Amino acid sequence: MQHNKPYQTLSDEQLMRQMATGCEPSFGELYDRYSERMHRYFYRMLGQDAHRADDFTQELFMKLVEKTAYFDTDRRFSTWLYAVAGNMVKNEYRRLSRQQRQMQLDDCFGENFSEDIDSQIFEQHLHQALGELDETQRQCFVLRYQEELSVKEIAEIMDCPEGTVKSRMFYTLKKLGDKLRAFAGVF
Amino acid sequence: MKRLNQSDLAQLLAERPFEMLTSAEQEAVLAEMPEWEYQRLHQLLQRSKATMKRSPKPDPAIRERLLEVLRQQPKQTAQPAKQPGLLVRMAQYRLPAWQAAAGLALLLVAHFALQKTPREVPHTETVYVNSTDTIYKEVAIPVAQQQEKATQMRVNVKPRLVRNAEQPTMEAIAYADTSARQSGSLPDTMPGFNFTPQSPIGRSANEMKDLWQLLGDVY
Repeated sequence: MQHNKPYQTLSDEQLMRQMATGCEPSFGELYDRYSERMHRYFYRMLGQDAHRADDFTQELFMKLVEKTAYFDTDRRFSTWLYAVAGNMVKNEYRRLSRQQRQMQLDDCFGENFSEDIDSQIFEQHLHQALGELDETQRQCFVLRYQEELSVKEIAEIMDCPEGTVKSRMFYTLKKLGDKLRAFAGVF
Repeated sequence: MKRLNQSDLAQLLAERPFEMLTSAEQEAVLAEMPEWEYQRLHQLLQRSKATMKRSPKPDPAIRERLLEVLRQQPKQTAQPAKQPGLLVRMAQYRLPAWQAAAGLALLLVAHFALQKTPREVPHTETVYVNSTDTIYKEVAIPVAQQQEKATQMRVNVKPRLVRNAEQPTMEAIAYADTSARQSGSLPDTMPGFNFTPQSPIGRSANEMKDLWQLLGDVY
């Protein structure tokens, strides 16, 4: 029986196929592998709101449970999952743009997890600087430097050429450097 | 010196501080930005990465809720993902730009090549059409004082032109003219002369006897 396999050794794609048969341990293993990463991604992309990140993480994995058949077995599971999460974020931006998104994102500033006051200030400014980037630049930056995905994986997730990702990455870095110029020499 | 492109620079910024770069890398970086700028961006990136790693954990209750939903899902037999139909796959097929361009070029070449194939030569047949033409024949005549014009002039047998030659008699001229006409060596288009081979114009001295007689009777 396939369910007796040590799930830690199975690939994401194998776990996903087993999940389609209602295999709970397969789902548990996938959730353990990706829930923190996806929660962190949502947290960073949606204005550092932990509760909203919880909601989006739950919704994402709910899609996984309910619409397993939509998974394209030819794609890598991780890039597919990030692509689905990216679409959820885009939809949220669209919804928020109708409700003055910036105002809502700014309201989340009070919540952070830094130990000291310097880190808190930096985190706030980083958050603000990220918020001022356009959607694709922010996604690029978070996927590359927070999630540490390769350029190839990011290109696959964002459905664009690798050269575009590299170019976006460089300009995002320059832009952030300008926005956070005040922190020069205090690191 | 190898010039750095944007992705190389972003990669170096994410990986190493300036002092950890090789001398070639340092030289390439300095061509793009000063050292302090590189250091500042590198430190900013490192600090951003560290800050972004710190984030809250998801609510543990989510896992249990999702597992509950999974338990309520109708169980399916494992089956490979449904492949879309042939037409759908053809419609979704992504053709690289260079392949599309090559295909178009091939079509153009084939189009022009086909146009230049030799066309069928039409079958011809030689036929003979009856036609009439006037031919001018060159004739040399003994006219002493007009030697320079003699080669291509019309035959002129008027008595006044012949008068200056070596005194040919009227009979000799008429005879030469008549025989030439009969043999076809003279054109029949001389102005003022109506040559008919059967009835040559002019009278010989013998033929003019009656005229002399008539004049003698009158006077």
